[in-house]
Amino acid sequence: MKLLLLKLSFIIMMLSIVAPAWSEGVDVTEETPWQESYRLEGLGKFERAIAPLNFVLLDSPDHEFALMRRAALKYALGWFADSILDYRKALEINPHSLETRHGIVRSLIAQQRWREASVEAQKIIQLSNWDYTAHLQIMICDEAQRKWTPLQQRATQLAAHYPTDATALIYLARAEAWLGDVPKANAAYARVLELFPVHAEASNYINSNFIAK
Amino acid sequence: MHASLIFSKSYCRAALLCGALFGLPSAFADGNELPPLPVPGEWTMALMPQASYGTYSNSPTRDSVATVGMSADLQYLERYGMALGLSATTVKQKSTGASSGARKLIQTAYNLSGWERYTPDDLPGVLTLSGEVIVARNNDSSKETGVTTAAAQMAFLDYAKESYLDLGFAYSSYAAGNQGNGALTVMQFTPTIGLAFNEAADWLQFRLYHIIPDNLKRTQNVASTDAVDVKWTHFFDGTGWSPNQIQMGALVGERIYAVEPATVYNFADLQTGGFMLAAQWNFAEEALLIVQGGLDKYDALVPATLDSVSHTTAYSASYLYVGVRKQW
Repeated sequence: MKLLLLKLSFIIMMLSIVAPAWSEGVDVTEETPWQESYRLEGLGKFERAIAPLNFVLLDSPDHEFALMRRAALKYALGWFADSILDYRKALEINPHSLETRHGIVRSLIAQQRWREASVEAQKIIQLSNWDYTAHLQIMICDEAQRKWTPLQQRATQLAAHYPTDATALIYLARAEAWLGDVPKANAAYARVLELFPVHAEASNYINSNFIAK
Repeated sequence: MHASLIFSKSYCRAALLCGALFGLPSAFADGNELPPLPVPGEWTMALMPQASYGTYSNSPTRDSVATVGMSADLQYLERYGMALGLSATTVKQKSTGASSGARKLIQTAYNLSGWERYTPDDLPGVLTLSGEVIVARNNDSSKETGVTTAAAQMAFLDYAKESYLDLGFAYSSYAAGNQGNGALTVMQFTPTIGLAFNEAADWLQFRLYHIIPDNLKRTQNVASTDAVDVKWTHFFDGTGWSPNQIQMGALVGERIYAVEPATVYNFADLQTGGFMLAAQWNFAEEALLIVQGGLDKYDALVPATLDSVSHTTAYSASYLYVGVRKQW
């Protein structure tokens, strides 16, 4: 009897879940826009992955995450200018979002707008002093503009804040090398080799300096 | 009077530095407070003082030319910018051939330019639209060489910096003067293509000058001219005293009343060729030195005298140009 009651309550529970869907004519197996977008992205179909997000944004134009996700997909498609527009809209909705600002900087870097990307990354730093990605993005821009002294200064401090991070050390080593300070470049590359003993760039630099010596 | 060099490309290449391996510090932070980092700015300004000196060989009227100038430019991020230039040129005339009677021709030229850059998703690179106005005034007694020029250009450079295209147009207006030759307007079209090769360590650029003046009396009866300016640039790592880039160029064909950035060739002489060699050093961060030398060949019209009919004579001008650019 107890078992029968349990079975009945389970059937009633299931019906209460499914019945409203039947009454509205909705297929419960239908993907949500998010599922569809993720599935298509997983298949590498970025443009088609945007379509479900467009439906979401049609209903809710201020849907922050839909805007951010659409911006990221546009970035993957190489639509950098369009991507920036979506990120800017998302930033209007949530001006505190560091992620959105990172997205803007990433698209600006892709367009080789180094100064503008640096200025945007600096806005992140104003909100979060030692945001690793923002400093890294400025270093990418400094290197592209051959600003070796600012790169050296930033990389030194980033390496101090993130002592086991090889990327900061590599930028430091490159800056020192371009500034002509071989001992300091060697020292930074040697630290890279402590973290990644087979790092090609660091090995090549140090080996070539041994040969020259 | 000669154009300033435009060296806008810079390439990052792998460092090939020699030195010794010293002790390896284990940490960079020494416990002291870290100094403030530089804050990226939205605006940049640059100043560029420049000077050139040239001498003429076999010119019927001119002996030497000296120019000093200064240009300043202001740029907002990579979006737009403007530049203002001012130059003063003195052409020393030959005492025997100076038909004007003036021993020195003194010219002042101003140029104002602006540009705006676009990065639309439809293009795999950067599109730049620019415009420039150049005004040159002098004490030429013929009153024929004062000129006002308006120029526009649409340029495209791909993100990989491997190919470049531009289309330039310039319209120059010369006053009628007092020689009875009438006014002159000149249209110039300059399609340009540039290509990188050798892993972007070299750059080759071809610029066609198609020039159409509208007054044969002032162009040695030339209705239009065509010339190709070829420039090859090689980029170096630029460490120590070695230059960041060297450039060689040659002009093949003929051109008259040509317009280059910030410069108008406002004498009525037909340029029949030329070559140049230039180098650029980044001697400090945000500072560079440009040195250029070259030789241009011209045909000049010699007016009829009691002893001879009017005829053209070939001459050449060799020059040296130095410019320093500092950016803040």
